[in-house]
Amino acid sequence: MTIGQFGGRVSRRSVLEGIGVGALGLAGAALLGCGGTKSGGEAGGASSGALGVNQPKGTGLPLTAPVVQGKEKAGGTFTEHTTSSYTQHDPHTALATNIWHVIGDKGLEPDPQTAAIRPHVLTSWEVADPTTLVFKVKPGIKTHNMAPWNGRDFTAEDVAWNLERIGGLYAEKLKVPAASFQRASMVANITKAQAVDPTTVKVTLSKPNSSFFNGLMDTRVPFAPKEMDDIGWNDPLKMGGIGPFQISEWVKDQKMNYKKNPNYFRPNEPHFDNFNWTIIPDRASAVAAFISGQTNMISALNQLEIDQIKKTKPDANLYAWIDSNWHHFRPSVEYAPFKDIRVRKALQLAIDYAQIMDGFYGSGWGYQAALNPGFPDSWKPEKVKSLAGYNPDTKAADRAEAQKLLTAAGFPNGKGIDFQIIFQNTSGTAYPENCQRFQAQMQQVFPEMKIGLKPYADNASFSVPQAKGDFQMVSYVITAAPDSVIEMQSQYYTGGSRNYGHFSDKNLDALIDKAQVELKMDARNALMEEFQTKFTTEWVPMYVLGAQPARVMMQGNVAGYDTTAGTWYGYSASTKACRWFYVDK
Amino acid sequence: MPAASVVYAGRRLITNGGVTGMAKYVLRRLIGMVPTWLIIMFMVVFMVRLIPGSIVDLLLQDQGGGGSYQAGIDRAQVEHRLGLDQPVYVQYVKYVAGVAQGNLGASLWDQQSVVSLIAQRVPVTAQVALVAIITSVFVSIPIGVISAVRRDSPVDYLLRSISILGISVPGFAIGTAIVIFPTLWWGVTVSFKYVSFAEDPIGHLKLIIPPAMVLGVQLSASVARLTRTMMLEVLQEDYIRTARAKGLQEPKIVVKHALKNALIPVVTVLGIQITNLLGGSVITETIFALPGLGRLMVSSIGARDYPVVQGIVVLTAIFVMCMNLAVDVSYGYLDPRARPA
Repeated sequence: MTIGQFGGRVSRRSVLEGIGVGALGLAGAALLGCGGTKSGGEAGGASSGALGVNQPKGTGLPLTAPVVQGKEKAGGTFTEHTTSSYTQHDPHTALATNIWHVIGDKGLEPDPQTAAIRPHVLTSWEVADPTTLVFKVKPGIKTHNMAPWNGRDFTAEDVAWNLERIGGLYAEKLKVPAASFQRASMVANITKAQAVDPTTVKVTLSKPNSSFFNGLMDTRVPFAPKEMDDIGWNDPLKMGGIGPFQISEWVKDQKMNYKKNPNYFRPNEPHFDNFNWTIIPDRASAVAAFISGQTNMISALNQLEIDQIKKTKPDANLYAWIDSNWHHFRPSVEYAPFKDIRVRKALQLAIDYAQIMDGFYGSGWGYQAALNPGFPDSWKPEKVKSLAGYNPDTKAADRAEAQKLLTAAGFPNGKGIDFQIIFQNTSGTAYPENCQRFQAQMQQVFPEMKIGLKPYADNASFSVPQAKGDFQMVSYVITAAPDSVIEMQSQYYTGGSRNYGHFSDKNLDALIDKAQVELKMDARNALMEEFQTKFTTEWVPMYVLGAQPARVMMQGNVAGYDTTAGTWYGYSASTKACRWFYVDK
Repeated sequence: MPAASVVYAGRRLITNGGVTGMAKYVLRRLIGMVPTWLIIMFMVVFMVRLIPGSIVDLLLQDQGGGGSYQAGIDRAQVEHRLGLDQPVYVQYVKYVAGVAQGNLGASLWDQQSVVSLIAQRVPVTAQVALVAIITSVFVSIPIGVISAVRRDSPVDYLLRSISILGISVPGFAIGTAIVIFPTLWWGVTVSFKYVSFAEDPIGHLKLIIPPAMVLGVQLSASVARLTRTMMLEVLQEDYIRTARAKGLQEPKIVVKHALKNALIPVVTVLGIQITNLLGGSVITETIFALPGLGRLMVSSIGARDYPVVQGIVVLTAIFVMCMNLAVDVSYGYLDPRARPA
């Protein structure tokens, strides 16, 4: 028993006055607030109603998710396409999608619309004291039935091993650079994870972390059996996890096929017998494959593709929502004019966000300021749209103000400002078009401002100047982390891992530090509110054009997709497919 | 008797020095390939590293990497682990030594042997190329012959226009059209699920034929034009006039006397064009989702997987050099004037 630094009495198993585990962790934290020792509901079809008395406050964003009716047709093969086979197979160091997003499973699961925490592999999550967390592992979870595991129990020892590994604590032992553990920020401050008994894990932190539970919802930190370091991470066919599907075939640039895990811990899931990925690198071919029924699903659709598919495949269903991906222009404060807040603010006021986003996406995107609107504690599109700079109705006045600001900063009509925007010139992406729109807008408002565009042929070549901060402005899309504080830290903190523009402000850093250790929900929300206000008025470290629209189409005989659709869909990777099924129509 | 030379398209092909001369010629050409090959290897090892962005950048580009990249510490560790911290000339010497022992290295991503990766992909590309050549031969030669025989007739104009169209329209456009239009009109398209010949021979052929047609059409267009030109030239020869004077039937004159001689340069050009099919495979294999050498090349460049890119370029270079040699040698056999005495 101890007295908490938050001014309240802190006892083991019942901290978090009100709610205190991060913006997305409302539900679980609410139970802690009720003093429950068995927080969270049982995994396996638990509805959010089972989580506790306090339902998440986030209500989600606009969503198109038709419910497909019909009698379930058990089994079958579901086929998706991807452009290339995965190259990296260690989930904790991989950059992008990998096999573990299907064969593995993560600790906690977000509600796809509200991002509220749902139990999953972990059935409860508690703050025993500010630097000690206690998790309960669902009993009876089995590994895939393949050597060397042969369906053994997945226990607290495995979970502890995963948490320490995700946190990069094994970097030295494995002779892997610590920075290679890409997702260590999801379990920031971890110093030790220990199995107390087969179903209990105790985590010790160096300092409190209000984002820890939310971090465990990230698909990019799936759990693997603890023997994997000995087996090695090179051969996908030797990998076995606890996820709904297990690997059955893997041929590079051809296919990545999985079969049903009959012992999956969620009752009656998955529905499909096989979950196959066909490699189709060409976009037009991928659309053709969907129309011809060779694949069951296609995502990242533009309006033209949707129209084509609707004409030829009228029974296909469209699902759409405001995504967790957000497009932005980030100035580098190494470039002298951008050091001046008046210049940064002037550009923010001058941008016509709607013209740019409507121009590429059409409808379906959402206004965003500092934080993705999917976060429960972020400003929603309607609010952002009403602010100076974002509001299309006040654009003329905002631009007049922008011109005054630039004149005051010593750059009348933009004279003396000469910069380049770097971006990936890959087909089908928004970068080339949106950079041109931004360029045209600025030159209209500030006739003497010079803006050059510098395209890069692919991701590898683009990543060099971006990572080095070797640019005056960069255009890029970020996928939001599953927690607003993690997001702030990586994007805006001095030296933050994605703070490519080298923005630095000691007040902002102090605010983030405070938010990370703040376990009281109201206080944390107040900090996030302060951050978002100052982001648009005092700091303006970047120009977020908006949150992109997500558009997915499924064949008409696939049901269950509506249960996984939503802003936080991307964080449900392995568990989303296991909830879909075929229906007789 | 002084040794005669056969020269075609500005290239000295073979001397009329008999079997010994031929063997010496082949040997000399093979020896001559070695420095070319070494230069190609140097160029590919050097140039592939000049492409902006490296595999290290890919490994470091995301969250953890952004910060550490600036510190420059972990980047060095990754470079050392991958052997990329050594000077390029050292990497080159090591690579050449490996290649000399038949070791093309391993993928930097999954450590799979480059030889085995290439060996898996060659059959697909080779089959597409073979079907493309067969298509080309069966389409282009009749077109060229008919066009020449019916010179300046509407049929000639039509066939020539088709040939020009085939040359003008890029392969990716033809390929995309083959994929897209049946989809939009009838809701069907080619299959994108690869099956091997052993698994499903018919299904496999269905996969191979459309991309082969794309390559074949382009190849046909140029071969048809060459066939027509050569036929026109041969049809003016005295021995054709003689054959006609002897009362031989026109089809026999065209096929037996004219075509046989007109095809000599066509065959050699066809041989050289085979090497161009490798370039075309990059596009067609991408559109038709075929797991061939072209796709491996593209994905390896994107992943900056240097050993794989090097391996493909080196082996392709060897193939191209050998094809050129084979074409030159075959010319000697096809043209009686160049046969060894």
